[in-house]
Amino acid sequence: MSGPWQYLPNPWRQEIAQLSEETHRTLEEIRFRLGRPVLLYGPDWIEALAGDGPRSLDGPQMERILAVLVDHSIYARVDELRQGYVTLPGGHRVGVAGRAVVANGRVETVNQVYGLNMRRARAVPEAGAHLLRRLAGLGVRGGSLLLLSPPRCGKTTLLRDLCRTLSDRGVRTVVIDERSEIAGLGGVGGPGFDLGLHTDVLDGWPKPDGIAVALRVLSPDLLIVDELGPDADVAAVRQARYGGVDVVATIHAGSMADLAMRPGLAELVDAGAFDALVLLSRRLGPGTVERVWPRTALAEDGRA
Amino acid sequence: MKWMGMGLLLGASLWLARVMARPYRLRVAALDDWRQMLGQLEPLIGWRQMPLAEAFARAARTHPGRQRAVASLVGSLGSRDEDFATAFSRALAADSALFAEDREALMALAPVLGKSVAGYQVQHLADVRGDIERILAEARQYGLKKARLVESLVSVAGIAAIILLI
Repeated sequence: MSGPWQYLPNPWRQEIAQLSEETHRTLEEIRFRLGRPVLLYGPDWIEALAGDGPRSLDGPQMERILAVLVDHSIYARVDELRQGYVTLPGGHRVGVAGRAVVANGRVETVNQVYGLNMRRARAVPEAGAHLLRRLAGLGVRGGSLLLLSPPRCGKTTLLRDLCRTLSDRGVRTVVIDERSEIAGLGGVGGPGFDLGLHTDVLDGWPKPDGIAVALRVLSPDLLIVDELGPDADVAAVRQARYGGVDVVATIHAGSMADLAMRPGLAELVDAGAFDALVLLSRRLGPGTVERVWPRTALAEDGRA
Repeated sequence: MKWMGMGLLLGASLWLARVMARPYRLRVAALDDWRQMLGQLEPLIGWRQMPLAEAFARAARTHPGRQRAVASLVGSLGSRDEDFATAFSRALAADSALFAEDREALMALAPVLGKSVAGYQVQHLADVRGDIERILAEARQYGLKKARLVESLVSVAGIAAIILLI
């Protein structure tokens, strides 16, 4: 059995292993919720997990699942739990919904787990090459891209393959993998995805620190950054672009209007930091390239 | 023939004395190993934040006598079907050199190890290491004394039997 499900304890692991091949092929995520049955989610279907296991989950079972997922070592995953997730080897992310333990105004960890959302990370070979061909067809020559989409539209998967494709073309690439999802090192150094021959990975580094270190010591041609968030991330990307380093980044946004509501980022886009913006959706499955805005088109359209 | 019998009796009594004293000596060695392992776990967990199975395996490398117990722990955790307390209890049961009191002291780690941030983990390890140091000191003082006493008594009994035979 592949995917994040292999890291679950029994009986759930066994029940999932017994699912049909077709279900396995299309299974995207599994959600464990307190007092609810375990639900499986595909691209256009939802099913309850059948089998001989417990029908709905209680608190100790949720705690047990989380303990097993973190190898009984919460202390090694506190930085991730503080942000509401843990990453498994292979880059699979588990979202953790629970009660925040706050100390000195800062979330220290999560206890009393109410929900776990296991998402499968995939490698989709050729997705990156396909996008690059499309960009070339639109006259986009530079290598700085911003991929935007709502959650679950394949941003990270496309980013991963773009990284591999560009790296294998000889572009010296550094991946700032704050959540261990792009390279799939799992936070504790598990087996990872193929990110290309010329790629270095800064695993677990906060984006601003990772970008600064990459610029200072790794001499990259290209930085790969997933899910730009606070202003500090945007400022670090700006610093990289001013330094002449290309950046391929992703961000949660469903449209250009969403993007425009993020002042720091909108200004960065207006300043021409990205050669193209790519909007993804799930219309024809995750990773559907809905629209591409080359920099020239953005300039003609006016502000982002 | 008589001299050969006497020699055999003397050898048997000395061997029996050593066998009877052995658990006390093994216990001291086991406690010393666990004390050192707990000390090694502190930086492995507190500073390197190594997962428990890996940290235990690393700590046990220099303590061959404890490797069977640690292999049991690592195997149980790797199966992903046992909670840490059960796996740890099974591992301690596999360490036949420990006495019940020693296992009880070490089991204080079971409900807390791996379940909090690194700072608390180090504190828990230091607390239990303190308990093990105390038990070890007692085992060295009284246990080894008892071992020597048992050895002496059994050896003397053997010699007495030989004298009676003469």
